Amino acid sequence: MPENPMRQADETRSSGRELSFRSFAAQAGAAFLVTWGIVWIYIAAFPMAYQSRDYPLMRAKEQLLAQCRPNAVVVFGDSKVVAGVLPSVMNIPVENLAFPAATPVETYFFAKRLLRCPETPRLVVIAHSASQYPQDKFFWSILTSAGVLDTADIHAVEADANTLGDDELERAERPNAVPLALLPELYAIRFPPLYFGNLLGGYVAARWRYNERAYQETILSGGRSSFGTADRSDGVGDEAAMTDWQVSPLINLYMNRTLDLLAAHHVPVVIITLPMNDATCAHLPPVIQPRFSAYLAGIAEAHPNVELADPTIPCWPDHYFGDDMHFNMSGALSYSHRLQYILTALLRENDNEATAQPLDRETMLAWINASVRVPAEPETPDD
Amino acid sequence: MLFNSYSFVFTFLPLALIGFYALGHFGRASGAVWLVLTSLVFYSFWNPAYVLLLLGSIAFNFAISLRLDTNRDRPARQRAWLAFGITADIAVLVYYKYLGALIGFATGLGLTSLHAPSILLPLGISFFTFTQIGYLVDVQQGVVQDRSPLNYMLFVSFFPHLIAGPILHNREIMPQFAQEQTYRFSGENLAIGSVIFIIGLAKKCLFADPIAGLVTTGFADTAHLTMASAWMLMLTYAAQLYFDFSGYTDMAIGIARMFNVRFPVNFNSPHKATCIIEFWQRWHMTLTRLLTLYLFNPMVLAAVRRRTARGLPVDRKAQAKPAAFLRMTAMPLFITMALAGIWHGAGLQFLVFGLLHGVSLTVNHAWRIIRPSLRAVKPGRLERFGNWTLTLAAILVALVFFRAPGMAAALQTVSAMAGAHGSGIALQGLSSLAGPLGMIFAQHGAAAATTGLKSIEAFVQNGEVALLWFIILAMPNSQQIMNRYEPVLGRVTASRWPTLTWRPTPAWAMATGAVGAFAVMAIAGTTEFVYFQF
Repeated sequence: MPENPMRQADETRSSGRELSFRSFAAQAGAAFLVTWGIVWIYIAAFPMAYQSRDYPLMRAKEQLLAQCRPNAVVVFGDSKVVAGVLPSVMNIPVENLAFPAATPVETYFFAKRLLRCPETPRLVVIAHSASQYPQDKFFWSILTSAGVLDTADIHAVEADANTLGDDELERAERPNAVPLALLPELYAIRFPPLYFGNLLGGYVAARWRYNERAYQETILSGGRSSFGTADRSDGVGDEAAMTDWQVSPLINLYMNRTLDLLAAHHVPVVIITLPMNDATCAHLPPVIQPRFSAYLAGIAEAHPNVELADPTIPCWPDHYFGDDMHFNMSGALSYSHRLQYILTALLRENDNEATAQPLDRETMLAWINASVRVPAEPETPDD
Repeated sequence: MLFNSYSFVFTFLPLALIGFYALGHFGRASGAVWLVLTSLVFYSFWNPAYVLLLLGSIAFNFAISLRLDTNRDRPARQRAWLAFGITADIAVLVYYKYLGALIGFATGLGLTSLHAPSILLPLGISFFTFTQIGYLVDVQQGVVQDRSPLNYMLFVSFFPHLIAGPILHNREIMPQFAQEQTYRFSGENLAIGSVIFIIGLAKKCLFADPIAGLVTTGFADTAHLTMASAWMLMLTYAAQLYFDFSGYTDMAIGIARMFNVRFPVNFNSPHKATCIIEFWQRWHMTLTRLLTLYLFNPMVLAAVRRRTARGLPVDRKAQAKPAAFLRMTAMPLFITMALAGIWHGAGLQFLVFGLLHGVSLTVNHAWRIIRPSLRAVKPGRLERFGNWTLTLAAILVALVFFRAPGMAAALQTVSAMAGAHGSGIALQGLSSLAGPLGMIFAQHGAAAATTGLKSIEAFVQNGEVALLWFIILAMPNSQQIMNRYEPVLGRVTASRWPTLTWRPTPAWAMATGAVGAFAVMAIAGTTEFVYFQF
């Protein structure tokens, strides 16, 4: 400095004891550590108070998993399934264990936990959107943050990614200020910087009430939760933003691993794809549909326990959608009734293959997708 | 490397400081060399290859400055060397910053079939280019005292200002680098610098970043903005930009202070301005100074000389006449502001941003000249409020072109602000009670569990933006808080809130530590500085 700072003779000089700069630094450092500690304790102790809705959803799914509901049909998938499958209106036991942003990677770990139950599920439905196959984009920011994967799971996925030479976890959305190598451990100990954005976004405790309600509603509905709630949406979904479609090596590995795991436990699997709104269908690049269908068909062919219910991505009217990607309640009700119809037929087919009426799936799906364009509700299996 | 990153805060900065004070103990030269090296390492974290560009630029400009010195007795040759130096600097800037856009523009008009090359913009190139052009002009005019190459290198590359300013003037910085005491440890400067750095970090991570998502969401769908929501969007963006850029500047000032160097003031509560001229005297002040010194003033001087040579009057009365006003004020203003706009980016929208400010400044100057009688009367509270509102409105409209992703989106936003898409004030439940922002951002994402939460979040978000504007308009700025310890070069007006003047007391220690902890925690969710793209 060219000269020593000149002190202003302000009136504040006399009020309050002034410290030496050394003491000031010590006291400020102590205040830093105490504040850090308090925030850390709060973050670890009260996640429902500030976390985004993924956290109560995760808690609810864990709860549903822990119930080990016997004889159930379990549905895995991403947020489209979370919003679109409403088990509480279906007259067969269904559990919606889908999770926002989940890819087959996370589905594998859900399936692993599910198979720890004393009874295996009657049927597993896997329904990931086409946009969930090219990359596990939210591996860190949503799925690890919400606690979908524990540290051992994360390390296992990282090891697989390294073996495959797949760098998608490095490219995935994550807090760039924190070294990637430390992320699994730092998430495990709820390192404050990783959750501070949620704390600010949740205004410290403003989300508590709503997270508790979301948790309860998800449990009561069998795993369903709302995303967009508009009466209709002509927004264009993520699928239309893709210019090409290909599955990532890591996701392909876990898709196959999940199906092998379920096969080892003699669990039949059906793969479905949830509908897009008409607006998204109109903007879907032509290359996406055939590549996606071919991949699913190949998967079904390679795994004897797997049936591919529908190789195409259905297009439903915009009024069934609450936002560009997700069903609103009307869409969820309508879709759940139709899904129930398919599942019931499949269960009958699986339970008694010799006597059951063979499922004319093509005709049935054509009817289902066509019927959503007329106001009449389809016949339910009981009718 | 970002100032708001853990690697900078906990590794680079401490190591740089330890090395600086340890080597400074052995003398000025070793401390200065260390600072140059750390600055180059800092720059290389972004792209090591461009360190050569930076070094080349420094070497070239210093060589030109030597030619300017040796030709001091031959003015024509000296002017030629100056023109060569400036042209070369501008050519490099044009190549990296504007060539792709210019070719794209020409291709769009069918003038060429060339493909726009993909050139990575070197970080801070606008800043270090203009800093050095200013130096060359000063050398040519004989106002530079310190001609030491080491001090020059340090002046250009000193890492706190290298990437995004403040834009330094050699006269205020190089003498500081020449002093021995700059290289001696000062606990006081370290403490004061740390506090200023924490204030900047808090502005960036706790104030600017949390509302960045709202701005992104709003500009992603400009077609659906109503009048009220468009104005709210622009208020939100103006707050984000102010806290982001002034936060960065505070961090730079704080870091420099830790190294015993004082930087010039760059922001002085710009949104408290009651006219657009005052706004530019308070916003990015070092850029305004640079443009005034090296662009506007020479143009005005040339116009005055031309009129004088033709025997025309140049006094105040003459300036009130349209032709003279046009030549001596409006034209230089428009050219300066157009270049200021383009300085920020190659798009047409940046030019519009600059020209809109040119219009506002011209009207403001015209008003001052045509209605001088009004200046004699101190404006009342209502008039001041009216002036402030008009100034803010002009700033927000211009800012649309600064932020919008393209001209089409900018025009949609401006037409929404003018009411072309409806007022958007109709009440529709709690979400609307929360304000128009609540309606735009009702689909803020999956974080909202229910409609109720969306409404509450929208309500709090509006409150958040209102709180930020309260801080902008009513609270003392960083310099005023630190006023007692001369945080910046230049005069700082005293705050109306003496209790918010920082002193090394236990209460301030607690506040500093707590805010520092919050700001450091918030780093993980932080984003790049808005001004890094310039």
